[in-house]
Amino acid sequence: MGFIIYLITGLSLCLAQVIYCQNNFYNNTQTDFQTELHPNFQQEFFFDPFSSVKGALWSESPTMQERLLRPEDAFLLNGSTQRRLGKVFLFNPGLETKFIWPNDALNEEGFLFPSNHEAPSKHVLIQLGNEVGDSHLQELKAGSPHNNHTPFSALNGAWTYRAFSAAALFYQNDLHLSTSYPWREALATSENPIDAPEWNWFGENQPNMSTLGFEMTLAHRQSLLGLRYYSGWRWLSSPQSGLEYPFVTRNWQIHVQNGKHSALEIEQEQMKSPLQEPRDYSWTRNAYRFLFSDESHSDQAAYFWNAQIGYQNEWLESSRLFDNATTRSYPLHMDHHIESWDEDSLWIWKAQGSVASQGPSWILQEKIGLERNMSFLTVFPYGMFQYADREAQFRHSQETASLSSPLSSALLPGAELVQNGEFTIPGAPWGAALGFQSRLHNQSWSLNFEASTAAETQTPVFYLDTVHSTQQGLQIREGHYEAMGEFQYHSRLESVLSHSLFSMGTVFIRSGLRHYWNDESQNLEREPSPWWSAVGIDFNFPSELRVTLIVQRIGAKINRSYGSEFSIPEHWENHLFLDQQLAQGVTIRFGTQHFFGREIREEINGSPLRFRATGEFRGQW
Amino acid sequence: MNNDTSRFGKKIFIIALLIFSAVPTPSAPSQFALWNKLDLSILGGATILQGNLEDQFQASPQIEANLISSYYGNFLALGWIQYALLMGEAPKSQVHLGQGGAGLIYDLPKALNMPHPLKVCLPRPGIGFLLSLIRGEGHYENEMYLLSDNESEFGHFFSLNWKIPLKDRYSLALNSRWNMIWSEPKFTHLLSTGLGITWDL
Repeated sequence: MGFIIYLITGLSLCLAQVIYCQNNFYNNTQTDFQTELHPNFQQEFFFDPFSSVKGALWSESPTMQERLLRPEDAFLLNGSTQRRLGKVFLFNPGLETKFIWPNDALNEEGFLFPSNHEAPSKHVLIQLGNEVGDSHLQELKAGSPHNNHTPFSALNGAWTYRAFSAAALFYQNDLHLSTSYPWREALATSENPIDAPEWNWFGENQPNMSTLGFEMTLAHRQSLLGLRYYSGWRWLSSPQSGLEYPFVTRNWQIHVQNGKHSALEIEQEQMKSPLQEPRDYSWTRNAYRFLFSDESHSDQAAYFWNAQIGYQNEWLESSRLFDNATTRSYPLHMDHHIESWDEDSLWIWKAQGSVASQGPSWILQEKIGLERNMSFLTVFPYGMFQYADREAQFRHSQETASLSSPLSSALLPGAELVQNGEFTIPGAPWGAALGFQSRLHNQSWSLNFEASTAAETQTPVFYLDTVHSTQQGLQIREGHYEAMGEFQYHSRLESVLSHSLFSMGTVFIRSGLRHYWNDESQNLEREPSPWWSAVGIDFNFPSELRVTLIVQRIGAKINRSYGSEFSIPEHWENHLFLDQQLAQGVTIRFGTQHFFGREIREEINGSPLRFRATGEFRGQW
Repeated sequence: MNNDTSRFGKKIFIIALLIFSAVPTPSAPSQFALWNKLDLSILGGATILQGNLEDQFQASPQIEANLISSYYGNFLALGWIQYALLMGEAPKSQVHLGQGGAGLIYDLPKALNMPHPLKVCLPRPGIGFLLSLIRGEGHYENEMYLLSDNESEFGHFFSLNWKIPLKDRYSLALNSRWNMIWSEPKFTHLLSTGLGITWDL
């Protein structure tokens, strides 16, 4: 009943806006009056109703660099994160093997294919980052710190000569986010020397992720042959114990494109534990995919679609931890995108869904969503314009999966396996989101207002059973997931007032509110900040120096992963970037995050988060 | 610890404000001239630790390369790299120190438009950010220290630079730089001086 009332209210608001705007429509819908914003800001203003149910663990407004330093964790409505589940074995014997990719470099599409057929002729990116606070030479007086503050480094390069392109990528993020260095050190020393070369490419910090990859393509007219190989190490959290375990990862892929509309991909990926027997385990997936796509345009409509059909098999192996298992499936993925527009509105319909055959039955495996977007432009006196957008989405996600792997157990370093229990994540969440955005402009001022709301049911929520403490003082949890029976609601309001300095830059004030409610909302594993507020300036000097300063205050967050509330107090999260253009397409950047603020800890076992700095060189020509 | 983090932030904020206020306002006609005039300096000299680490190392040899470009008005762009071998107190203990930085130099002699003899005596002050990397050997290769592995940290610097014309495109370069590395629990201070040759590219 609550959901129906909620839906009716939201639709009424949208309808009122439609009537209002249609009485004031202006036929130049293709003109964009949006104030030019720095990319650091712009992504925050991009209209997306589901942004209301997304957020970053670190901040509600992460900058691009912050995303790189701390890959974004998308919040589900249960307050957990997709990455929290991690790239782990979600396995239900006999039914399906479910796999959730984390948002990291291993999952990103490569430089060269399949999306970017026209690779940059030359591209170089060098990034060096550090969490400030290394003792450095001060060790000689203060001693060696137990918890080292660690670096981040990335190096990408691409080069094209006629029809041949090649790219290389290196990415190592040493920042310890959700668990602490002592845990990794203890696990490492119990099974392998801490500096064992197979745990990372270099360094002694047991980095979150260390990846090295190569790609190359050979193009001829409309055809393309691509090869990709990525290899590295990473640590992933067990959803049951909350602790992290290491994996060796390998991924290779062959991409053969024939014309613009069809391609064949062959892929193999593997994750293998570097731990010794009896804790050895590996997961391997082989996939063969045919990809088809097409698009058509007219004066008032555009239609895009793509489809993937293929075959994949996956197997899980271990010498002693669990029984080996194999699954086979025939995944089918369809994606449609239809846009039509007339003088007063833009309609967008998106449909996306995946199914997989397993045995005799076809089951819904991924997500399905419908989206309708309407945009109207209204003209007011005194040079004022208003864009009004509404968007509605329905989504359904078949998240039902079970996990049976070493990660499901409290695997203590140096101890025998405590248990090998099956870990199930129930629930097939479905829900809807409604959003509205108004952008009021004149030549220099812009007022953006966004309101969005979402409702979801059958959301899996973690319930804690017990907590153990280790000798290292860490906490290990045991618990289970249950699907919420009732609808859960979430709303968000945000406004941004910006003033364009034209070619010199932009200043802005931004604030937002977020609220969850239902009877079970107190069970949310994580509650993001209920409010945030920021001021910022982006200023271009005539010396081609761009200074971006964002000062923001973030409300308190709650983490219930270990039972009693672990609160992250409200705090400052400030950012400063200095970008100097050296030549066309070549820039250097010095950036800082979380300066002028206190040290904070977001995880009960985690390392403190503190002031970070990065240096970056980027060239593309 | 919280105060330390806050202290770092305050200093960065002040440095940013200085840079922000030092660059001429956009109302002036565009004088952006990056790469129009370029000179390269190779210098050798000494690095001395200051502050609480003063007694840990002797004055150690260092070599550095400075690349200075025209930038905007009387401001010059500076990029530099430096290597120093820090000699520790214990026998056979040493630390490899590699640093690099970027910043701005204010061409004070040119701005003041002073007569030539006085002009060459005036230093050109500079400011910027640096990244420091160290690796210890010998005495430091035990479990007491992390120095035997690579350690890195950001920081900032202030510098004074003299350029005394010699002949044609060659000048005598004298450089003095105070590096402040954002280490904990205290900042690490290094004073580097160097003498060398500048080549106008």
